[in-house]
Amino acid sequence: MTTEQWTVSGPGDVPEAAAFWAGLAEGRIVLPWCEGCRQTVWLPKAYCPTCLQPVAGSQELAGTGEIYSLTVVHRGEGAWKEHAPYVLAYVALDGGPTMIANLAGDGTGLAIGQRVRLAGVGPLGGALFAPLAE
Amino acid sequence: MQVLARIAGAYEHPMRKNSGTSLQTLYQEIVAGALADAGLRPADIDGLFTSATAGGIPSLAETLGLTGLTHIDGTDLGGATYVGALGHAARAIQAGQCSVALVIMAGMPRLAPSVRNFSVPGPPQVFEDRHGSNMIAQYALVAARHMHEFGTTRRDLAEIKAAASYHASFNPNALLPREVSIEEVLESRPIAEPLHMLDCCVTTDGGGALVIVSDEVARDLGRDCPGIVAEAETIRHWNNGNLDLPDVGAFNTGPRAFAQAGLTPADIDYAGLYDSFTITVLTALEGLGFAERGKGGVFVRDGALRADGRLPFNTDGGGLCNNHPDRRGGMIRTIEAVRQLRGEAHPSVQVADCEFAIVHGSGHQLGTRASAVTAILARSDVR
Ligand SMILES: [Zn+2]
Repeated sequence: MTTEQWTVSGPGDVPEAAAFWAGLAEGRIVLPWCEGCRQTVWLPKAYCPTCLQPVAGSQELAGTGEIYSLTVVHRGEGAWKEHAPYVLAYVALDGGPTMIANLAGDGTGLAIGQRVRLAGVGPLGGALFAPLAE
Repeated sequence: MQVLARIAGAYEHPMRKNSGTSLQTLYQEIVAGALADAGLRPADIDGLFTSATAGGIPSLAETLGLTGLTHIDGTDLGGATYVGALGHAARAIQAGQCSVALVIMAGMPRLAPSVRNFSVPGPPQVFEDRHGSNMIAQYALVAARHMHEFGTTRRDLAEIKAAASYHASFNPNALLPREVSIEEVLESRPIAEPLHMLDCCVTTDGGGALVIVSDEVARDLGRDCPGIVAEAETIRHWNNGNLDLPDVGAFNTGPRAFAQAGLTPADIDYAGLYDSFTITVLTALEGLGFAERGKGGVFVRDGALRADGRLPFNTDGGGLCNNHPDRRGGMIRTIEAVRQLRGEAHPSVQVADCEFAIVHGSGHQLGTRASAVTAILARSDVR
């Protein structure tokens, strides 16, 4: 059993994340919100990891943020092989978590600290960000 | 200083590329090597410390001929598992749960997929997979952030490989037994920028074992038995999206290990540092307190990590050049530290008057889900 086989539906692909993936498909970032802790919950969970109270609501973020770190991957594994070179990143979302992401392009002109916005979905369904127009 | 337990036997299997040996035979050769080094027999072993293995721990006990086990620990901390086992075994011995503990690992990733590849993913892996994350890419993200925040350069990282390769040039068993220049590292092909091919460790088949015993047992053995004087462990993860990648687990485990031992970084003569990638070493140097946060690059620039430097590290060539069996380096980093404390390292890289060694393990993936374990070892005459 390879990791790739599990990614569509497996023990790691939890229903608590369904709203996140559905939102992403519509170009939105929707995350569970803990009212008690006044924070988004990342990764998506049914209970807030800080207070362990049930998460009652959700929050739609602006979909903008800043590149926290990035790497141009030249050697992809599995289904990613054919997409190399591609850019894997962490994006610090405005009002939310620093999340794993893809950046559009091959890395040219991208730098840590740059402002980015959600620009669609990546080659395998991840969150794809692109630089904000100046 | 309290010596928790002692290391009576240490054995690194010479295999680097398997050509048909079964895992069972590999395990048998390893336990035989470690017990011969300690002067003990299978019947003496009452504690077993390992991680997930084919057929589970009972199957491994059958292979090893262990019939009198009274304490078993299968804690899996990735490549840091066997550094953690130093503490787990020492504390089990202190508690009277066992008196002769075997810590053992073997695997052959060049020949067959590891049984330890966590093929049933947890929720983070689903997010990682959909974004094309992989092992080296997660270390690359740490390296890129470190370079951005602190001005660390690829050349700094390359010096770590070059220093390890200098040591490996004295180790005929090393998979990469030759000196590698900084330029070669810089010019090797990029895998996940800023990390290139030669920023990576070698992938080897093989394994090793340690025999850990109580003070009483050690006294009856004719062997030089370095002491375990501290061990601390922790985990880092995505933490609800509050990421600080350069703040690796060593920042937690280093100070705690030094406090346990009553020592400071200045007391350390030799460092066995987990070196899955060059950045793994650089961040550990900062977390353990050998360099200030952000100054790991400055620390290594003048050759500090070389056998004649301020902090000789991985004098066998490390995982970067010698041996990283089953993609898990903690065992071999510990074995070379034992050689140094016994004065049995290669004469060209033996540290003079080596009294205290630190071993740091870093398991899983530095940028997403990582374990960190720090142990401090003392020469056998330190009481
Ligand atoms: Zn909460």
